[in-house]
Amino acid sequence: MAVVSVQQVSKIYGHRLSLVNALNNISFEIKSGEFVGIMGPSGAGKTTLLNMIATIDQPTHGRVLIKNQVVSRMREARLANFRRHELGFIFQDFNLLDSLTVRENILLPLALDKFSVAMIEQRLAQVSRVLGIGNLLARYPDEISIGQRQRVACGRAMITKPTLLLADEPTGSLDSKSATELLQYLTVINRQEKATILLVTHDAFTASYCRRILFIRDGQLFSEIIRNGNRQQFFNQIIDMQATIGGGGRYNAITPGH
Amino acid sequence: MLLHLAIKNVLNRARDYAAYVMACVVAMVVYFCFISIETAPIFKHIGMAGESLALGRILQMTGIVILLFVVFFLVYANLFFIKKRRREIGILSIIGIPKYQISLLFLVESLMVGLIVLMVGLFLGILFSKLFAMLLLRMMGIAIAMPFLISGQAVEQTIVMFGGLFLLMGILNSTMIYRYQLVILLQKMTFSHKVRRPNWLTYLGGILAPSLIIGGYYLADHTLTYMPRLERRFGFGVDLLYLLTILLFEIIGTLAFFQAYTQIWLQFERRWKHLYYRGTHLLSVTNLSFRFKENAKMLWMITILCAVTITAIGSAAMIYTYSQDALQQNTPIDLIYSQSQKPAVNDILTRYRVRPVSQVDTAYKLVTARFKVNSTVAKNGIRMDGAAAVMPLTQYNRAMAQQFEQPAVKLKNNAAITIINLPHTMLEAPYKKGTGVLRRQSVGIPLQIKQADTPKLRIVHLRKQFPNGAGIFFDGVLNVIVVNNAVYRQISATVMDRIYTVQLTTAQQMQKALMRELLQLSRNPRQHDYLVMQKKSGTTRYTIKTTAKHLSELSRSSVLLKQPNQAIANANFGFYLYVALFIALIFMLATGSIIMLKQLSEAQEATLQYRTLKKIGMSVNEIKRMIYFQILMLFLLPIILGSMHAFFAIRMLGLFLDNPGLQLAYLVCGLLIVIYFIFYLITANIYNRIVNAPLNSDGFY
Repeated sequence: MAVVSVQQVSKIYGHRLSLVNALNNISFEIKSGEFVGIMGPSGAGKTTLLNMIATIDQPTHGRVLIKNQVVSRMREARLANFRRHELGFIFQDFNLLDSLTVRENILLPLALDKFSVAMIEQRLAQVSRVLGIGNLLARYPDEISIGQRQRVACGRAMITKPTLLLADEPTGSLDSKSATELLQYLTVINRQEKATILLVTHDAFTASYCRRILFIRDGQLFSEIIRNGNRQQFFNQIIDMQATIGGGGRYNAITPGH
Repeated sequence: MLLHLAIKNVLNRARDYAAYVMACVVAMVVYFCFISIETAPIFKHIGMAGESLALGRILQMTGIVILLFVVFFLVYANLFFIKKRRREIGILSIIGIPKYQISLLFLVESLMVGLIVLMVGLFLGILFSKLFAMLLLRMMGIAIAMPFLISGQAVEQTIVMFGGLFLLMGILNSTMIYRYQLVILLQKMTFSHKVRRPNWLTYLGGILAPSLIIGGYYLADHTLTYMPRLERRFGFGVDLLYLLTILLFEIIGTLAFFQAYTQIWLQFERRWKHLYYRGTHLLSVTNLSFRFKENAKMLWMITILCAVTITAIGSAAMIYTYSQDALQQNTPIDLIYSQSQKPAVNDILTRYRVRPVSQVDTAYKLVTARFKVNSTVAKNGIRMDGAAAVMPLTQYNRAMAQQFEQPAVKLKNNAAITIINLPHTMLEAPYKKGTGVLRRQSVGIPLQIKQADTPKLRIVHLRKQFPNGAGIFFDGVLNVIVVNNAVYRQISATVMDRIYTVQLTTAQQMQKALMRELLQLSRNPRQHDYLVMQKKSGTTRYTIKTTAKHLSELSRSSVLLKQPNQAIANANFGFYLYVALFIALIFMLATGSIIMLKQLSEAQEATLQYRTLKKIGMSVNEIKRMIYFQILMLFLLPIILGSMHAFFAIRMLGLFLDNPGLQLAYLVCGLLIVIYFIFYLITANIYNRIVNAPLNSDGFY
């Protein structure tokens, strides 16, 4: 069953006199329980695509369906509700609220939904166990390391048991050790909690933890690779594909331009 | 080139400048209105009212206060505005424009804005000054047609003052480039909503705050109980100390309230999970906790300013009411004169062919009386012993009905009413405050009239309204005893006196020549009566003379005239009230805009937080509600606390002024709170617009 279905989506930005075609007729689907990455060079439209799926932005043409609902035409109030219940967000710079403790940051989405205190405590315990942040709950975000902060952000995204977990460059601000840790946790979440994850990155190492990767270039779907063997092989595949997109790689799927 | 850039800057930043220009214009209009009243030629012609006012001196002082506030306000607004532009300076210098040119650019920009403000401000100022002048005249109770005149002096003074101010601020802004390093200018201003766990000092402050504030209120409310006690022990110097203690309690208590008490209170809320983990409560509590901490000193200052403003305006209104009351009690009817002045007054009345609406005469006897009232200010009560006027009940009832619209009283043979000139707030039970009626269980105060065959009397009512006005009785006597007619006849006195009261028509009161002659008579010191006392073998003989033998003799003004005194008092107090209102208005505008500017400058920095909240699924409306609630709290606490301080301060003043009616004071304070509320709505609205833009608002064309 497809959790996300992107159908002929185009997005045009800019002034009347200098239009930018950020996305050009993209279609794909993400099935339940998948761990999908979106890759592409700068300006390829990765973040635009993610925003579209995240219901933060609307496509100029085409439509986006999540759980068979057309989110690209929903009203603002319903969308907010939809985001709260169905989507979880992990940002590059965490966006934790400084005035809340780790505990409060994580349970915030549930509190907004007026869950019972018992329910909140139960979910909180579960999430903090999975992410290994049980001993940090009473601290404030500026009292923990950045790796831990990203895990807290991850916890906040997970606690509502969203249909889809969206991550925009989740390792972008992390050192390699913290990044590896986070990615391992995401893998665990994907396997154990059966969470569907969509992440955007331009880092091949981060992408190598996904099961499937969509490459986009100049607003169009360029190619797609699926992980069959181990992570190291997959990593090499990704590097090659990046080289191809850049031009002159081994997998020259489409000869650009001329 | 530079000028071109400066003009472009101003035009492009019109929206940013709008708030700043508006603030400057408001400040200028207020200043101009005040100055134009000071210099308006019309006020030099007001004559009678103007003479007794010392109008100029007070206006000058107020002008200085207003100017100080305007300077403070403008510098503050300017600082906020320029803070936003630090990055711009950085960018200009990074692309290689020399520092002096950037400085010049800022100077020219400031001067251009100044010019716009000056033009708009003067135009509006001229419009509004007429309105304010009319308001002043109305409040002074003077009916004069006001010509539409532009005071050249006011225009000149305002231009010089504000031109100088803008030049100064332009120079200040342009030196900023020299004061900051490039790195700092280019840095994105980081902003963190850090909240610290309260330490023991905060807990101490949190406990101290309410105890100090409530303690201060208690002391203020029991001033008349404690002050005399302390006076007896330490002397009169302790009074000032007592008042200073109350003031200090409130000031420190308020600071502790915002620094510590709010923190403890919000920390406490965080423990209450069933409430805390419910909807946006969690966010509101933590955000407020941060904001109170961040703005504690500002909120404290604003609370104190609010308290001072409301107290000033409230007490001005109260004193106005009090003085009106006092005037009414002193001269309750148009013309009052004593027996000795009867020929002189009658002569004037017949010469002007005045036929009064009514003419009443009251007779009374002068005796020596002795009684004691319990008081909060004297431990053993206040002993009254000396001359007193005895009046028969029917005449008392008639006078009270005509002059004060009081219902008639009945008295038994041994009962008496006593009218004393003492604030009833200073009296102690068994008298009920306010009415001065003795409580039922008591049988009254024994009253002794020093005469052989008078019956034993008891005072059953203590009152403060003198029939025929307090002014017509001798200074030191001021005790009037009212008894049953039968008892009155039994009392034999050495001297009897008569008081005549006359009610005039409005037309008669408008006759200038008549009123002038009566006024001259009432102001003539040679027309005073003196009470001469001769002690002989235990009894005192009284005689009334029109010439004084000794300065110590009790005197009275024998002719009391209501109308001109009333007019002068109206003009005086109307004027004071106007000045107080003006200052209050400016304080309110200033405090309102200080909170507003501070909040709006924080809004820019909080945008990211609200974007995050929206991404994780809060709707625009939920955020809007949250913002309105938070800003309401921020505005509400200072005004509530300030109003409470003011309430107790006015109450305390009321104790000394014998509880005059407070309706006017409350009305004026209510008006100020409405202005403040409007500031809240504007701030919340703008704040919401800054932080709560829809997520996908960018990128559409």
